[in-house]
Amino acid sequence: MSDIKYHYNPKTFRYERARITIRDILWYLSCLLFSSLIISGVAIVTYDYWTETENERLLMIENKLLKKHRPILEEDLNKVEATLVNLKEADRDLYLRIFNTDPPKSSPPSNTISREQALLADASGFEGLLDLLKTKSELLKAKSSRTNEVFGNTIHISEEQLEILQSIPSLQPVNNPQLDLLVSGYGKRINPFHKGNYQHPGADFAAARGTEVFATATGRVININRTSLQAGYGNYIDLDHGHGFVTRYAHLEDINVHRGQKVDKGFVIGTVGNSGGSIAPHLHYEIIRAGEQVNPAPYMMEGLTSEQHNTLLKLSAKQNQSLD
Amino acid sequence: MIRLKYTYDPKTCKYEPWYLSGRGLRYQIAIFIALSLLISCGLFYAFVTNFDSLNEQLLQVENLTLKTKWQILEDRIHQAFSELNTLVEKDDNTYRAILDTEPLSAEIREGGAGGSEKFDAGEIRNFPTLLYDHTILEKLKNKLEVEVQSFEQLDDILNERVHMWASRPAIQPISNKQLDQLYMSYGSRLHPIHKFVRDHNGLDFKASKGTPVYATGDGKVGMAYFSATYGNVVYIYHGHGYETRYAHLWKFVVKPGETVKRGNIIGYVGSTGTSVSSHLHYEVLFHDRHVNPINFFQRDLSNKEYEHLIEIGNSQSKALD
Repeated sequence: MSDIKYHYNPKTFRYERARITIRDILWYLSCLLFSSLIISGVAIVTYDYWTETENERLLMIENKLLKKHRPILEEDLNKVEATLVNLKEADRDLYLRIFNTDPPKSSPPSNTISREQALLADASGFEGLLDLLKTKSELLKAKSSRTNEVFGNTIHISEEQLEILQSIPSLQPVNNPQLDLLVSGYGKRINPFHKGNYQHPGADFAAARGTEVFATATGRVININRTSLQAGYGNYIDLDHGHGFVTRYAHLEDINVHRGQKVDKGFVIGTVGNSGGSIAPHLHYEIIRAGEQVNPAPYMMEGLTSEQHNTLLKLSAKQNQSLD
Repeated sequence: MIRLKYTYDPKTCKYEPWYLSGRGLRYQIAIFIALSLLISCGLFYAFVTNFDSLNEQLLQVENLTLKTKWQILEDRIHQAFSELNTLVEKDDNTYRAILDTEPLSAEIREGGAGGSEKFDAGEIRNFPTLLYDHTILEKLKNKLEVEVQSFEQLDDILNERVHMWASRPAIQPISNKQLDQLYMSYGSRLHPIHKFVRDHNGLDFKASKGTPVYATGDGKVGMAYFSATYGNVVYIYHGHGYETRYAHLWKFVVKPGETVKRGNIIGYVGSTGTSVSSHLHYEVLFHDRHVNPINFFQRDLSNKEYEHLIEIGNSQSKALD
């Protein structure tokens, strides 16, 4: 038996000796690879199926638990969220019933952060702009500090002028960092007792009983009134600051000053109370200029940025129910 | 692909088709299988050493999805918690201050029902995330329960206060429009009939006979009768220590025990009893002591506003009947 193989070549009508070509080898190898892939695949799957690593076991347990506990948690959470919605409604309702107006919209800070983040997320295009803004703001800062310097150098305040300035009641009568204690301002407001519109001659600061009340400018105590009558100003103090300014602090609980006493700006003259015709512990604060009650909100600017003062003015302008 | 192969048979001098068979075939197959197995082993080994098992990969993908969903839940829990905290803060610092009641004590706040755990803590003790979220949700539930009760309490307090504010005498008993004159004298004065100095405990509103007299706050008619001095007089008990009296009426239109709202007509101005001209004598008492009624209304209220208030009172009483 000969080992020599021939192929029939139909073009030449001859038998030609068969040689092993690269094609043959490739064909053989691919068959080999294919079959071994199948075998190893089957082996891997089988191996996977029959063996369980520690990792897998843990993952399986964790997944099972996650799947099992999510509905439990979610069910509870749904209930909680529904109750929260009701509670928020109740909160709004309470506020509405006390002040006859919707609560001020407090812009949640998280919101602004997310907006910032959203901007930053695709901010690559803004980078140049940011740099530009930065340089511009630096320039502005430099300019403003220069301007400040100029003003600082040119403003000379005489003793007399200083005294007039100090007689302007520019403080807020209570510590009000969030500004939200000012709940009702000067002007037409709803009377809490008879619910009719009336002229509310001052600003109401809602604060807990016992909150310190400050003199809003240097002055002298000219009037102290103590009464158990549940009408009118209740316990109140009048301070005369000179130059036509008198301030009144009403519905106080305690009064820490006596008639004729001189007080400095910021001195604690009494504490917030609920005396007189008042529906809630609060300070009713009036500025009386040349014998007439004026809107105190524009005066209360000390320690506030112009932005904060604007907020205060807005709060004060809200036509709601006073605490009287 | 595979071309037929031939062998040259010298015996027949012919090219015969050649097929792999018998031993040769078996030999070839064996080699092929052996090679396949060898390569498979290599592949298998390479896979097992270099990659996580398929199962594990699938589990990990699933795990990631589940954890993401869990994270969303956790975020919701935190969100709910912060919202609740805002409410709690408002409750303690705003409402309780305004309604002049003590904030809830920390004990009550932290107390809650507790204990009613729906989850099996044992099985998740090795999974801090699950345990943490379950625990924090339980806390949230308890806190929320307390807050719900607290709000109910606030609502009750406010209802009571609203009732109190509504019963406080707060308006003038006669419309400014129909008022001829208000005698501001309160205290000692010369009595116009008896002609001696005595305490005058009320305010006098001069108005023509038949002018309607309104209840100045919500309350209950205590007495309505004819007295020698007061003439036809109505006493209204407002509760919370307040009482108002309307004297020298031409006639009264309420009965003792009747509930009245602020702004309801209780009678008409007259000159009965010790009176020289038609007027209303109005008294306000707090805990049985006379106080100056001037403190209990705004004199600068406009006529329109006053009529509006009377309307409110009357619409309310209609709604209640």
